Amino acid sequence: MEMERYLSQMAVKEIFPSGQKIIESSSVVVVGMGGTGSAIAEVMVRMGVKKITIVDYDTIENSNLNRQTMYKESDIGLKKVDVAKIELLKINNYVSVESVDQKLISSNAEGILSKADIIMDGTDNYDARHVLNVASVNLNIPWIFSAVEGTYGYVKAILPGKTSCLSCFEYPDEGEGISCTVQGVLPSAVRAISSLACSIALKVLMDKETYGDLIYLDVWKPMLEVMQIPRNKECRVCGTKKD
Amino acid sequence: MRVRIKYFAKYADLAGTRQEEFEVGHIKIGELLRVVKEKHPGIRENESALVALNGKYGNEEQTISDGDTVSIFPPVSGG
Repeated sequence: MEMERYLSQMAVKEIFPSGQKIIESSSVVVVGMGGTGSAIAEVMVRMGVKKITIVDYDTIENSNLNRQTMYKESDIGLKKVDVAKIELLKINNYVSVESVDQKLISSNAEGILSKADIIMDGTDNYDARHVLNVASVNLNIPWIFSAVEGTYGYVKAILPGKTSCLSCFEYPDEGEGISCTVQGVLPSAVRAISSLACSIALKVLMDKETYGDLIYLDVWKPMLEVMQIPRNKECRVCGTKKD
Repeated sequence: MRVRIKYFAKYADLAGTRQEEFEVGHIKIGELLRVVKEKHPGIRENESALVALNGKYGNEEQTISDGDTVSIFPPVSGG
């Protein structure tokens, strides 16, 4: 890797001295290449991860363009992963970019996610996050939950065996949720939640995140609140009531 | 006894305030939520709100004490 590109992030005391080597040896999977996912992928590639795998089956629509900055008007109708792969390689050709044009479901999740050092949540519904959560626990790979609507959202690190998982606190585990065009979402909120998710991911990769608190961020109020969520011993995904 | 309820995200809009105090007896979080939802019907009964007791995730069976703060967050699905 070329060092000059990363000098400014390497100078950050939280990263210096060993953080950049960890970043450059990390393999990241981003599931969902919409608002949060595409922003997360861009930051990860700019920071110089070794490999990124992007997963999505959707095509680019006009209604995506206000917040999904990876895509342009000329991309409407094209597959998100195809366009994103080209754009990510333009940003940093040293990174290995793999695209997976599939919907993540229970039957393919562990195969797609198994080589990751960390899994990033760019999904937009409860069903997909449940699949991510179960696969993460089964594979013992950490994932970063992120969700956003309106002016606010959540981020949480989930470290199997160490922190609570998504089911420990009875987060909804089924349903499509409400689409962004119906419920509304502020592009700056998407960016803020994505940025926070990337910061927490770096901490996990550098073994500096151990709490797995649920972080609530509202960019309009503005307001940030942190909720401690202990593990649920009887959790049906990571606890004694596991299927 | 008095407890403080803090509303987050859309719950603050539905309640018309970010926080308020309730005068209640020695009740559990679940009972307190029913009181809250009765006062603010927009906070739907069937939606699984995330609840924190003094900053730590709480469940409906926990008993609240005088001076406690109960925070209520809605689930979010978008991305």
